[in-house]
Amino acid sequence: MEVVIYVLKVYLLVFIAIVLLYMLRHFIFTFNRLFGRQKLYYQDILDDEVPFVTVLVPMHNEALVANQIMDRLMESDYPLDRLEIIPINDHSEDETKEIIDTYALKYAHVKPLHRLGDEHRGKANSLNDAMPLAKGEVIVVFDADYQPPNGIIRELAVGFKDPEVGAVMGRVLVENCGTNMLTMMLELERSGGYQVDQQARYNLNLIPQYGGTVGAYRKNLLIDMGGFDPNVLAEDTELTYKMYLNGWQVAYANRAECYEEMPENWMARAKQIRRWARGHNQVMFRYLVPLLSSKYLNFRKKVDGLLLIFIYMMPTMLFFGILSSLILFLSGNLEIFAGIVFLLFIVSLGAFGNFAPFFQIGVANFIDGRIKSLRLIPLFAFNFVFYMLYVSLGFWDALIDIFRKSEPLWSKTERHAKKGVKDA
Amino acid sequence: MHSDTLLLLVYLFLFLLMILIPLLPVIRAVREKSDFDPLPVNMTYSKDPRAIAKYFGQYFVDAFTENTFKIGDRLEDEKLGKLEVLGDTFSKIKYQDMVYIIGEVEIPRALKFEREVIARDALVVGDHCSVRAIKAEKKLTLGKECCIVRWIDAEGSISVGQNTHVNIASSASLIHLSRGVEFNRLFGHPVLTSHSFSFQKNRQHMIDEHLDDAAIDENLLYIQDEKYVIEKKDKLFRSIVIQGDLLLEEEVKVFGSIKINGDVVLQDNCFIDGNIIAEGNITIGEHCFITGNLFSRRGITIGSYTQIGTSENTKSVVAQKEISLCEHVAIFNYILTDSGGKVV
Repeated sequence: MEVVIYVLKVYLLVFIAIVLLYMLRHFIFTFNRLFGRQKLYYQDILDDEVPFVTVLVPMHNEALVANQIMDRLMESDYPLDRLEIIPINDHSEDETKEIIDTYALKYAHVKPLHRLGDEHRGKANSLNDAMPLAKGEVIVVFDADYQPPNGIIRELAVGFKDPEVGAVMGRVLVENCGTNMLTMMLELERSGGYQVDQQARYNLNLIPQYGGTVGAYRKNLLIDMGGFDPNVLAEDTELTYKMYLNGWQVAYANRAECYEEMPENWMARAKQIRRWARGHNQVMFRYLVPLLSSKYLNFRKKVDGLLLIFIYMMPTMLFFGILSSLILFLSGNLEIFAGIVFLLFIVSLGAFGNFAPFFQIGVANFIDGRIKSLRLIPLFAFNFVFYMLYVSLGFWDALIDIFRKSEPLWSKTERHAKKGVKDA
Repeated sequence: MHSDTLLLLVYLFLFLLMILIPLLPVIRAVREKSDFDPLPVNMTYSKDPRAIAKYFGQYFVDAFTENTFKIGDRLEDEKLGKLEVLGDTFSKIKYQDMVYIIGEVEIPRALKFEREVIARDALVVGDHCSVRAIKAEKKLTLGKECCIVRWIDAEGSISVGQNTHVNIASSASLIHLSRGVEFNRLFGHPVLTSHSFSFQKNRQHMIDEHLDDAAIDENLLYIQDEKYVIEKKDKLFRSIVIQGDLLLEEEVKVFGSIKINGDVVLQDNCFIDGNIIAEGNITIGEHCFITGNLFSRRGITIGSYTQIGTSENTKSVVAQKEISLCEHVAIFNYILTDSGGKVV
């Protein structure tokens, strides 16, 4: 029994240390965004020698949104002789095929890929299958519910003028944020993730993340790295780590903004974050050791990489932390450190530690000029409990995946597409 | 009711109240739904270095399209305000309204224009003048020590006199800058700090002369050193990434792009057939030729008789800090700095 108590105490202390690290990280990122030197992305480079770009749009039953994204892409200002668009019809059972064929008939640079045979479904498989067809040296990816502005392909592609950049990530904005409380909260969250988190990581030369959509990467690099692994649901996070482990960088383009459609009900959101958590944890299991032993990453990048890769494991760790403290309390062993200092530490951690992510979201939306909707921030406390549940489920899914041989099934996010966005 | 039970109920009530307090603004926010609109994105935005002048030109045409201007006219538009049409006579020292100038005119020295000046024909602005903005349909010449508050744009060439401050300048033709000119953004074909362009370089000639030596290696050369030197007259046929500082000694030729995570110095007569991207400062010596872009998150200094870009393609010199151009420098076609640039 003594050994168990000892292990629980050590676990609790380690967990508190990790939470402290995350708290510090939130504050460092937020203060960097508020007061630090901001790193300029390459969008100010004016250069008419542009790389050949292939835009990939994976689609599975996307009839509700297919016209919208194809129309937006046809408006792109990228030179047509340097651009091709490959909408990938991934075993759709609705009118997606007919819609994209209409565009292919009308526009020579639209070259659809129909995956209708017995190939495995999923985004990673779709993107891999498009690689032999893609003529572009740079691949730009948009999910089907996105609405790319006219100039965004140029803004993403210009990042590759830097020979060290392997991938570029743009910023995602929620188009349907006014639909209900959930979509508005997701918009606030998104803002925190991009306006502060991604930009601060870029400023501090840490690990900005390639997010799988509104992003671009060098085609040859992906091919050299063996393409996307269909067993990993977070192909974007995997690409990020592959890039850094091979000496490449991910650039973050905060001004390359694109609207997306977010889930409008809690169950769709639950499925989405469970999938993200599963994929992210799959990457964690696979890349933890290579990350620590990489010769290309300095200490700071390794720490940031670790904190990023661990993020979807935290709810499970928290659950075990609560369980440990309960057992220690009921067995009368919770007094790890005695005295007022430790009490003050715990109170401070409760006050400032829990406050840190909300502070980040608040500052991000302040920078975006979104002030009134910050009144929703107290709701994130309840949201946290919701996320804890589904992110934990995602962690267990990833754990099971280690022993499972078959490809995991890709569950698509439900679309709504009530209206398009008017030109701002 | 027992007093303990009552106390418990009061506590319970207060507890629920305390939970509800932070939710009150939430309830209000959800009911009002104000500030719930998507953040604005300009869906039609395309990068254009002459966009300001084009937008202004469109506004101007929309506002005064019905009018055939005659010298002496005074017009007014709801959006753009008053417009005065002038010839070669300037009766005031300070013009508060917008001015439209007809004929090849030389503005006398030390006049002040608080609004935009639109010139139908070639325009010469005298020394020490101050103008908010100028849109010239033909050639534009600025005298010494003038101050442009916002921007200038010309369909013809632009020549800027000594120690003049031009904030933003764009031209469909050449921009010539004299010594001491200060700027933030320039777009010309090319931007020249010299009266003649006798030092124009030929990229194809350089490629024909040197590229037979070795084929271009597509693999990056990745160098972890804190300071790396490419020795005099060396040739490199691949792109390189340097973790520290880089020194290119005289007459080095690189057929590929360079990324430096520190500072980079190019000594005289270097040739780079690619881009130079630096986290630190970029310092370029004399008689160099860079066919690609220069991008620095610090400052950029460019020595005399150096050419950036070629007449075939638009390239950029972009720095987060200061840009210093020596005399006799040619840049095709775009210069941008967040902290101001100067011809020294």
